[in-house]
Amino acid sequence: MSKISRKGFAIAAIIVGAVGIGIGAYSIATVASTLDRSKTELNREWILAPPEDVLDLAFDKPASLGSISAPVTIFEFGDYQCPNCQRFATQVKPLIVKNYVDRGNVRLVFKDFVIYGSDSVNGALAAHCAGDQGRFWDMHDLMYSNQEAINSGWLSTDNIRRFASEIDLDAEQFDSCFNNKKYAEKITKNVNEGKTLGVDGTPTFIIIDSNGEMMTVRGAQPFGTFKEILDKALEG
Amino acid sequence: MNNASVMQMVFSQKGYIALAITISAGFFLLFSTLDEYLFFSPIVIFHIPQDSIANFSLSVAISVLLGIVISMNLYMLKRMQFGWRQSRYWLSGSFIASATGACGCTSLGFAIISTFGGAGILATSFVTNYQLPLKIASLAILIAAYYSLRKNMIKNCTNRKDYS
Repeated sequence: MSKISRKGFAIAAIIVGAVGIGIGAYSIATVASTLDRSKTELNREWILAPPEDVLDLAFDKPASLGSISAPVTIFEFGDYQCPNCQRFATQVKPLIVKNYVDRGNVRLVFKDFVIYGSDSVNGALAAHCAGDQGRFWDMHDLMYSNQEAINSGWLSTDNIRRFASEIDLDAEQFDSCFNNKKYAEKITKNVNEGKTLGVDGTPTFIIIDSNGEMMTVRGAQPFGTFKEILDKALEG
Repeated sequence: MNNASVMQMVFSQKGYIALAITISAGFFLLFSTLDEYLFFSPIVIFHIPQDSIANFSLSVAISVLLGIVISMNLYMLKRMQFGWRQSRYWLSGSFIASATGACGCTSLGFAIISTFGGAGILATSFVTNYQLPLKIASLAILIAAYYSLRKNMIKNCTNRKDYS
């Protein structure tokens, strides 16, 4: 075997070996996570939720989904440019809505936690302005399903107007709200609320049960995590 | 001396096999946690989203290569008394691969943004937007590290033979 072909063989062998191990690890992990699902136990205690001046349960009706009398509330702190928030919004949120929110057991509230600068603020403003016309969640979902690279201009004013027209918002009313930054203070309040609660990344979830106790979940965790917590919260 | 005999020379000793496995497993756990495939709280759960299979496979390949390269590097340092310069390859490879996961919208990314403001936003956006190409670059650096180590080991062994 020549020197070059021997080198090529070695590279190919390393890559094939690594990919093989990867696929093996993936299969083992998938099977293991499925098998372990029934054995999982919460390893974090519920703690007393903060008073209403810190986390306003009645605050911001348009940004909440589900019955106001639902026994459990999930506050999601997110940024429209965050890829992990998109993963939650497109893969996990629909399952929570279908299995808990639509059945009246859970209320989901979105709180802005803008990380990536002015484009992220644009996204937050757009959602609240759509909320004025009862379309907060349509704008929220549309932005997440159209998410592109961070600060690449996909949340520019022009694109946001295009999103607004896609969900048939009244353009004049939307522009007036968006251009005047009507909800800038609300966004700042949400961010500060998050900081007070120890939010230091997105998405972060504060889950409050009917006893007024809360649990924090950090990161775009799979539906299995939320199912475990929500089932326990609804039991108690 | 060929590729197989270099590997054989290092990994004929069980200690280096154990070391390579431990290092690979350690980096696999680190990358899985940073990339948010593995969560420890409120329940221990491992999950690979459908859109992350390429990224996950790269993380596994990088972990395996790090195990091999670091073990070979330590073998060189211990047995041949050289190899400090070669460690910069796997150090940069592991740093890049870790940064791609840690700098997203995680608490570390948020801490960088809070500390460095606009520059922090630029840096974290860059590593998040180019996560996959950066992981590929990290893999390429580690492959280069492997060949550099292999070449130096062969050279060193040949020199020793010549002197003996």
